[in-house]
Amino acid sequence: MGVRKKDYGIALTPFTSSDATSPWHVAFPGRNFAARTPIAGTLHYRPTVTTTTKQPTNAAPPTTSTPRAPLGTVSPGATNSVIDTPAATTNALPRPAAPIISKPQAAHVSTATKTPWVKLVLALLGLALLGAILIAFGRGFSLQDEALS
Amino acid sequence: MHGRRVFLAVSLTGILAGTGVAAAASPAANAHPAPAVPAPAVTALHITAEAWYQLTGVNTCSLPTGCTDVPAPTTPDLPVNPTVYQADTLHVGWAGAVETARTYLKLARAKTTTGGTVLGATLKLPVLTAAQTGTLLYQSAGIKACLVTQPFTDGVEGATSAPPAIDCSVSNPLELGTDAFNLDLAPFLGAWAYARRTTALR
Repeated sequence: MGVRKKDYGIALTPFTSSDATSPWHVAFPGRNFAARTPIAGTLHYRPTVTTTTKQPTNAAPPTTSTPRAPLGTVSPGATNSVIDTPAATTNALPRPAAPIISKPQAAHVSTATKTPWVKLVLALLGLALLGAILIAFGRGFSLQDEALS
Repeated sequence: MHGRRVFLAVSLTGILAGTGVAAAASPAANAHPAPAVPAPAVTALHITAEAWYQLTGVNTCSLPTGCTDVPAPTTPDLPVNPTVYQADTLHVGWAGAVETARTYLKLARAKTTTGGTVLGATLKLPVLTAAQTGTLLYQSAGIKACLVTQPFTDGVEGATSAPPAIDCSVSNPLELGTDAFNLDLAPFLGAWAYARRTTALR
């Protein structure tokens, strides 16, 4: 088992070398302590981005993406101790840099990639038709010239 | 005859332009606009549980072998403050080359915020300097935050029972400012994310 999703605990412990003999003691205000300045935490985050792009009719629906950001060091296995506490009273921190596993999508050729080639073929056909008409007109004019001459 | 050739060339250009072939040749013309990246936001982190324990064993966290379980009596957590310190205060202490007090905090973000990517987090811990709070020579104090790997009971004040386990391989020292210690929570954010992933896979 791992740490539950809503358990975000830290412990404040001395960081003094063992040969330091001079004592010290630090008191902090608790939640219910009437302090002018209580313990204050600040979380910096980037909200989730919802990207809506104009797609052809058979395109995939709009996607929601979460940019990833590098975070602090992680020691693999460091949080694998047994945890069985009730969940915390408030909701959890936003997931930092979680892996995004995308569902495999059915392969298809979109209209965006197919249309230019279809248009090119149509254009060539149109050109051939136009050329044929022009040649026919040209011959007609030539025959008229010959007849007039 | 020359006039017909000019007419043919103009028609060819017009058809190509009208069918979009010229546009298809340019990759930039079909590119979608880049999604706007939202600006970073800031929200509050709340303390949802807090506790502190009195310790009588030897602090091994400063030794090369790292933290080990501190031998402690089997006294259960006491719901009331048995100490000489003011109620609703948290303590970290060092005396006689041993750890004498350790504080536990559990954090959660504000309810109003939705999902997103965490960029960083900090904690500011003001020092209570009044005499009755027990603070002594806090300028010489060296405190570090370690990851808590066991649950702890909210509201425990000065219990002498075995404190919940911690893992100081994920830690960060507190920086002393003006009457307050500042803590960068970045290493813990990564560890918590790892815990989420490992929990989800089980």
